[in-house]
Amino acid sequence: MEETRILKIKQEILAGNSREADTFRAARWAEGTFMMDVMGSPGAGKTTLLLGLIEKLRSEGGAEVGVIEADLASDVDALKMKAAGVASVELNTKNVCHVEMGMVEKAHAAFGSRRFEYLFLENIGNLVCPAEFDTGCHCRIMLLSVPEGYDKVYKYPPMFAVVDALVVTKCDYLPMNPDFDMEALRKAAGVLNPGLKVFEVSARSGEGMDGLAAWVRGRRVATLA
Amino acid sequence: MHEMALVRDVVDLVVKEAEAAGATEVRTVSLTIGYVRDIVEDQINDCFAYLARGTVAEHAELVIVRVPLTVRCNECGYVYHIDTRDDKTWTCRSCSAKDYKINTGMEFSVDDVEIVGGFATDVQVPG
Repeated sequence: MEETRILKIKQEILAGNSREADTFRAARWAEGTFMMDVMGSPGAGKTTLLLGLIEKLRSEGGAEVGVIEADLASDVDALKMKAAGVASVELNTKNVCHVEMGMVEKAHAAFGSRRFEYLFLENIGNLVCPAEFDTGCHCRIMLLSVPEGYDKVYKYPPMFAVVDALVVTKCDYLPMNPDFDMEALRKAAGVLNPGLKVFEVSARSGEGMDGLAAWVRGRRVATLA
Repeated sequence: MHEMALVRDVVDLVVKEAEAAGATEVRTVSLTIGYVRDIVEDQINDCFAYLARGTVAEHAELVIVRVPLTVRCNECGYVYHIDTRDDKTWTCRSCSAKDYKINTGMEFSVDDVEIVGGFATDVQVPG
């Protein structure tokens, strides 16, 4: 039996990605850009929410906003942003299920010298993988739409644990979903993430959107202070 | 489903450290993975075997230690275990407060790598 010896490594996985994320985050802070990672299942309403949120942010003093649209393929969402007059770049991950720093850096570089007050990353529609990867943002939020159901916390714990806010979308569907237990959702999410902010919104009707926009503005001020 | 990306990082790290130490073979790799991380252990093993082929780590055995979800009480500092499905466990055992921060359960680290061969890197030179 050959002699073996132990190398003590004790290093977190994705340390490289985390280091790049810290560098990117600091660079955005230095130039006055507040960046937010927007996650959720496919169809949770990320693009619609962002369009509504951006309209609110721009209505008060015309904020400069940019969006990085991440999808496995296609530019459907980036085109929606452009149609709304929002500067956007499409990030195609080519079948990779999450976004990593190399991709974020490349997408950001595509904006050239353009600077933003708010930069959003609309992440891949996925409640699993994106939670594991730091994308260099100052703030992370997740969406959960009423039709998806309220019992997702125990099924997808990492996502609920890493975000700063949970935005419950499509609340205009609550009358059609009497089984949706908002209190149970808030309680369960609060176990994994005691500091979590929860918003109940409908981007379509506008319900709750003022409160969400105010919170986002406040987060930018607090981050860049 | 993203085990491939995570394990790719594990393999890169293990191979880099083993080669720097001059190893001819990696016998075992110890990983600490918190229970809150969405990891399927069989997938980790399969991905490792695939991604490490042709490297010094290709026959390495993974030793995975899972760490439970514990929280630290913000009131008294007591550390206790939480079961997300049992609300009786959400209260501090010491002071009964319901105000805490996550303590363990989110880890994913490479701890020890057992190698064959190579040179000592911690030789003390008398002088």
